[in-house]
Amino acid sequence: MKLNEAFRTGTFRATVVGSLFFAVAMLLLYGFLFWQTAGYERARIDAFLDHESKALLQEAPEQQLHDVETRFANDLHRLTFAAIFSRNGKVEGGDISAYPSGLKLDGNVHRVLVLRPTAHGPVRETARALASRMPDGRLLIVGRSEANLAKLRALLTRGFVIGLAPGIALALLAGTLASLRMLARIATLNQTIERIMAGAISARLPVHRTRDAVDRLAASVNRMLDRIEQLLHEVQGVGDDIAHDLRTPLARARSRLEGGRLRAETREDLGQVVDRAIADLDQTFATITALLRIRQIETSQRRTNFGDVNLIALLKEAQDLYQPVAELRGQIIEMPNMAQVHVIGDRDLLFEAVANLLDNAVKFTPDGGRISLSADVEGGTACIIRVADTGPGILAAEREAVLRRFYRADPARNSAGTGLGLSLVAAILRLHEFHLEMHDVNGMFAIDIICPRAVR
Amino acid sequence: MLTTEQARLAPLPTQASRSRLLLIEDDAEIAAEIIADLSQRGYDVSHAAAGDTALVAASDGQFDLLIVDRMLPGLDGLTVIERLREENIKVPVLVLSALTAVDERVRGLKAGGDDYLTKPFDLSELAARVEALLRRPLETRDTQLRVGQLTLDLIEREAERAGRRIELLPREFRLLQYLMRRPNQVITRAMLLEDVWHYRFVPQTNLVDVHIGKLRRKIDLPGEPTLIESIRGTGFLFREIE
Repeated sequence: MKLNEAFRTGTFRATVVGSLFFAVAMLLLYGFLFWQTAGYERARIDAFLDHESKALLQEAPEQQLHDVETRFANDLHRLTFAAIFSRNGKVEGGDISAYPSGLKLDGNVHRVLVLRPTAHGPVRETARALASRMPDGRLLIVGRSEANLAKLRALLTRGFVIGLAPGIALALLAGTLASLRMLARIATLNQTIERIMAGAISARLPVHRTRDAVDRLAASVNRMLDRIEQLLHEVQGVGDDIAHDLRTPLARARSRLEGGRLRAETREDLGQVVDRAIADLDQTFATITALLRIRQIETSQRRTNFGDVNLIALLKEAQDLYQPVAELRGQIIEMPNMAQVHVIGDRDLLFEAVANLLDNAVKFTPDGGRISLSADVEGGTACIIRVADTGPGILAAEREAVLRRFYRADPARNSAGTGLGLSLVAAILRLHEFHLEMHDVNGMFAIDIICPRAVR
Repeated sequence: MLTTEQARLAPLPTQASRSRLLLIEDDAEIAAEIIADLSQRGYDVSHAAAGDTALVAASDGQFDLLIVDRMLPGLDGLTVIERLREENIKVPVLVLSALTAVDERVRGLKAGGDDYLTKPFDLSELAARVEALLRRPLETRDTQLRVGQLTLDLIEREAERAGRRIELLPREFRLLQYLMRRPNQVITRAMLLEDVWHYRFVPQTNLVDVHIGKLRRKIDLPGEPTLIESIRGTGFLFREIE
C-alpha cells in the first residue's frame, strides 16, 4: 500500500504527536514512582540505622565489639554493616576496613562510598552510613548498602520500557491503519469528483452511515452539486428558449425579405417589406439587450447604489411615465392615497422593476381596463408594492414558471415583446433580497413585490 | 423642409467645418462599419487600433470627439481617457463597450467619458450620440428658452407658439425642454428614456412615441408644420422653424 502517503496524512501525524505525549507522561510517572519509592526506602534505612546505632551504643563497652561483629551475621545479602574505629582512625573490628572518606561524625545518616572486603577482594559501593562517637572516644559506624535501591530502579526501568514500547508501536500501527482507511476514502472521493468533472454531473460523493467530518463535508458537496445540476438544467432550458426566441423573428425577417424580393413590384411595396423586416430585427435586438441587462444585474453583487428610496414618489413617477399610454387605450392607472413608505434599495433598478410590471399591465389589460398601483406597510416592517390590473392575469399553475427567463404564459407567443420583463424584475428583486408573489385580489390580478424591511 | 432620408444622413448644417473624430477600436470589422457610416454622415473619421497609438494621436488635441472602445490591446480604453484628462485635454469622449458588469457604465463615465454605449448598438444610435456630444445642449441665462416659433417659460413652466399659449403637464414640459435644448438634432428613443426618465430598459409598449404624440398634438395646430419630426428607425428631431 502507499505507506509513504499514509505517513504524510494528518491522522498519522496526530498519532505520532499523541505517542510522544504518551511517552512523556509515562516518563513523568516513572520518575515520580521512583522518587517516591526511593524516598520511602531511604527513610526506612535511615530509621533502621538510627535505631541500630542507638542500640549498639547502649551496650556495655566490652560487649560492643562482639556485638558489632555478630549483630548482622544473619543478613544473608550482607547489606548491613557495622565497625568500630579507634580514636586515631584504626579499625578495631567490623565489616569495613577503612573509615569512609567524607563521612561526618554528627550522628546523622549520610550517603558515602565504602570499601567492603568480600571473597573476591574489596568492593566499592554506595551506602547510607551513620557515624557516632562512643562514650570512650572510639567511633561507631553503622551502614547499609543502597544495592536494593539500584535493583528497584532497574526494575522500574524495565517495567517502563516493556510497557512503553509496545504501547507506542500499537498507537503508530492504529494511526497508520486509520490513515490508510482515510486515504482510501479520499481516493474514492477524488475518483467521483474526476467523474463529475468529466461530465457525469448526476454522480454524487459516497456518504457513510458514520456521519463523521468527511461524511458531513461530502453531504455538503452533494447538496452543492444538486444546486449546480438544477441551475445547469435551467441554463440549458434557457439556452434553448433564447435560440428559439432569436430564431423566430430572424426567420420571419428572412422570409419577408425573400418574399419581397420575389413579389414586390413597386418601390413602396419593397419599402413596406423592408420596414417589417427591420421591426423583426429590432425585436431580436431588444431581446439581446434585455438578456444582457438581466445578466448585468444578476452578475453584479454590488449594492453601492443602495440608498433610501421613497416608494410613493417612485410609483408616482412610474404612473406619470405610463399615463399617456394607458389613456390612449382608455385605461385608468389608479393610485390610492398612501402614507409615506421608504425602503433601502437601488432607486433606478426598483423603478425599472415597477415600470416593467406596469408595462406588462398596460400591455395585457384590455382597453378600458383598470390598473392600480400601491405601496403599503404590512405587519410593522414588511412592505408590499402592488401592481394590479383587470387583465387576464396568469393561471395559478403557471405563475412559478412565468418568473423563469423567457417563458411566456401564452404558448402561441403571438404577443409582441421579449417576454423577459418578469425575469428582469426577478433579477432586480433577487439583488435586493425582495421577492415576488402573485394573487387574485377583488377580481384583479395582482403582482406583489414583498420588501421584508421597510423604513418608517 | 428636409425629407426624412436626408435628415438621417445630412451633414450637420450648423457645423462650419467638418468635425474630426478619432475612433479607437481594435476590431477591424466593427471599425470599418463605423467609419463608413460616420463618413457618409459627413464626419472626418480617423482610426487607431491600439491604446498607445491612440493616446499619441489624441494628445495633439486636433480632434473634436473621441469614440473609445473599452477593451483595447496595449493600453486599456479607460486608461487612455484618464491619461488624456490628466493632460487636461477636454475633448468629448463616447465610450463603447461589450457589456460585462452593471457598474461598467459608471466606471466609463467616472474615467472621464461623456456618454456610454453598449455593444451591440445601432449605427444610427451611435450617430445620434456623436451629434449630441458635438453639439452641447443650449444653455440660457434667461428665464426663457426660444427656438424658432416656440418659447418656453422656464419659471412659469409654460410654452408659447407664435403668440398662442400652450398648457403643459410637468412631464410634457420636461420632454419639450430636453428637445428644445437640442434643436435640429436627432434624438433616439433610448436617449429620451435614459435622459428624461432615467429608464434603461426597452419597454414593450411604444411608450416614447405616445409621449411624443401627445406633446406634438399640443404644440402643433392642424395646418401648422410639425416641430417634432419623426426620424424613421431612429427617433425624433426638434426642428427650428421661424
